Amino acid sequence: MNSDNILNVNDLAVYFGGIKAVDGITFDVSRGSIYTIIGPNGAGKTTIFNAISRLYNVTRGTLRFDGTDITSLNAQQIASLGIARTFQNIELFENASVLQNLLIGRATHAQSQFWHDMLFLPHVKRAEHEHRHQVEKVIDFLNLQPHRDSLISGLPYGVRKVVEIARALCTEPKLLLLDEPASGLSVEETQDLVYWIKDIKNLLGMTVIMVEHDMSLVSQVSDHVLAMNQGRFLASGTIGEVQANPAVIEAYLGSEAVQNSMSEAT
Amino acid sequence: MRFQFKTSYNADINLFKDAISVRDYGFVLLCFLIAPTVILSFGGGATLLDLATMILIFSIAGLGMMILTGFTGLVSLGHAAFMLLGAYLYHYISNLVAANTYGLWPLISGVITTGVVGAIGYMVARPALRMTGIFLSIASLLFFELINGLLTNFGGFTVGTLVASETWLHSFWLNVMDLFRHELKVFERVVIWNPLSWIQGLYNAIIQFDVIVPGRAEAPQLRIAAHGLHLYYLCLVLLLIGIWITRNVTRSPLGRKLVAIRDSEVSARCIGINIKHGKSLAMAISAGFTAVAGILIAYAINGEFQAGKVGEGSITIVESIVLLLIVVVGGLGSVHGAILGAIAYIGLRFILFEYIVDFEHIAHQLHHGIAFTENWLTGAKTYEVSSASDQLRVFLGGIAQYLSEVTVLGDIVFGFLLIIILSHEPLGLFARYRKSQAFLDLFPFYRRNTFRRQRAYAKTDRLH
Repeated sequence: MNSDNILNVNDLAVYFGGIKAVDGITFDVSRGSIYTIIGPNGAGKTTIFNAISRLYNVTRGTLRFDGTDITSLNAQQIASLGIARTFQNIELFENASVLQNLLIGRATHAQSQFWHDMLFLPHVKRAEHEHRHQVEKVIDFLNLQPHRDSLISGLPYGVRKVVEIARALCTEPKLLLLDEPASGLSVEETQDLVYWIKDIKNLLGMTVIMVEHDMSLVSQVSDHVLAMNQGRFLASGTIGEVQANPAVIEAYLGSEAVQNSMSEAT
Repeated sequence: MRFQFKTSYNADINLFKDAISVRDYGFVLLCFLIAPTVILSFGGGATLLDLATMILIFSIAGLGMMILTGFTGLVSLGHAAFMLLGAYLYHYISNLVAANTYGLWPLISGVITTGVVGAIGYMVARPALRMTGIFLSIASLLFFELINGLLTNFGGFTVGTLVASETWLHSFWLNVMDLFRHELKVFERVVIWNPLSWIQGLYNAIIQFDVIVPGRAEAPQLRIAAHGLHLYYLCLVLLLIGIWITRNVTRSPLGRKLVAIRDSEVSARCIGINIKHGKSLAMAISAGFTAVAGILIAYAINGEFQAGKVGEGSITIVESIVLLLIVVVGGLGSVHGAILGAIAYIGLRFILFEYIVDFEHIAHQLHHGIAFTENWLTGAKTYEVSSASDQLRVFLGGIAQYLSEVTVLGDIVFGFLLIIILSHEPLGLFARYRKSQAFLDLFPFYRRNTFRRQRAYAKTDRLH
């Protein structure tokens, strides 16, 4: 267990009946890096995320976060350990404002007695100010000021994506799981995202694991790339190494493409 | 047009948005304060006063239902069970102390009852929440039947059908009034010169406090009216406390957790919210509110509102459904909704049944009219079905007979009205209130599409 690694995934397998969604994946994520998982549709990328955030039960293998075994914890404990995530299909709280969504993100830091809340005792109010201060920092970080008081159900898709990242940041995580952050975004919005993800790593010092199809985004931000197909490991390394790997090319483009690229190379 | 300039985080935390809303809500409160004196001085009588009291009581229960259904998104059909538990438990606890030593005991036993019923709500919710959606509703329905059966059938333990005593209320208020007796005398001298009739009514109402002396059975009419007044103001105070607590819940982390559970359980879990605990807490708070309403209903019924006994057709499954309707008609997810819904539901129903239309009477008239026409047409009292007109007569007569026998006709019309309201305003009366407010604020520039909701995209790959 290298202390430089924030997450160790060892021989992870998630089966749904006969379907082997993830089958024996092993990887380590080093602290303060941006780790990207790529693969064709149905490769099991999101299943890995759901296994890490303990929405799915693991069939085999272990997950270690920061040295602690998280394989048998529940989703709520995962969050309080410092793992936050976003969803591919946005899962925001639709009938609440952006501000409320971000404040909900502070839930792990707001563990007061329920009757203190019901009576709104002075210390609850002080804590509210503190939470709001933290939330405002995130709002400034992601330029969400114009949308602070608007309801999620009235926001455009691109802004919702950003709000979801903001909500994950409000939990002050050590590890951030981004599930296809650029899907459905315009080129400009994706470019913004590149800077934000780099800032999340460099300024906030968080580790990011990302599932992404947009190769320009992947190549601009990732330190390390893992390619997988049909739940199995394909290749791992820097973006260049992975893109040149014949197994990856075959998975994406078919075996003919591999032969072509081999003949070009020779 | 009015803009709210936020200069501090407190602007989003404070109970009132700005000075204007303090003024507005103050005005509403003033209306509630003078309502009974207006009713009494304009000859509304005890019935209208009891109606107002009922609206307040159902507002309190509606707030509880709003926390559960509006904020947490759980639908319970068994909330009448918490009303029953509240009424019975209160009766039991308040009788623990000898009948004549009152003081603060009614209040204390009320607080104990609320807490215990809240705890019961939490314990019931814990296993029931293994189910979701419609199955949870069915489970809550069964819970009501269970509680109802237990309380009414095991008379040895639970006093059977409960006949709540009203004396505690008088004595409680007498104790309170003792504290302010001197000030009241001064007040009497001041208001007696006021020419306005409603102040005269207030004066009359206050005088009645002196009339009630335990053991002296004089002036029963006044006693009833005064009883109603006491109950009304007690309900108003409790409603204000209820609103305050509900607002505290909504502006604190607790309320946001509930909203998170309502809108997306998956991401609530991933953010670190304990779903089970949150839902059970919502049920507990909701049960507490409903228990308070149950205590009050027991006494309201025992007053002059309705000759009935708790547990014998007065708190039934209908009350559960009424509560659900109140929050839906009022508008889910808002504090206003519970109160607007209670006013609309209880008020509309009352007006429909008592004042505007006497359906049974109409049906009888119709029946007599048809009988008269039929005699006039045939000219003889032959009842053989021979001609076409005879067949029509029998047909119409049958309908009229049916209508005169069906006493639930008012319910049918009422249900139809509710459907009309909800089809025009699916988001409830609170949405209509906000629209009219926006209309006034933006007057010449209001657009009909301001509040139109559009579905931006469909959620597909949900985890549940």
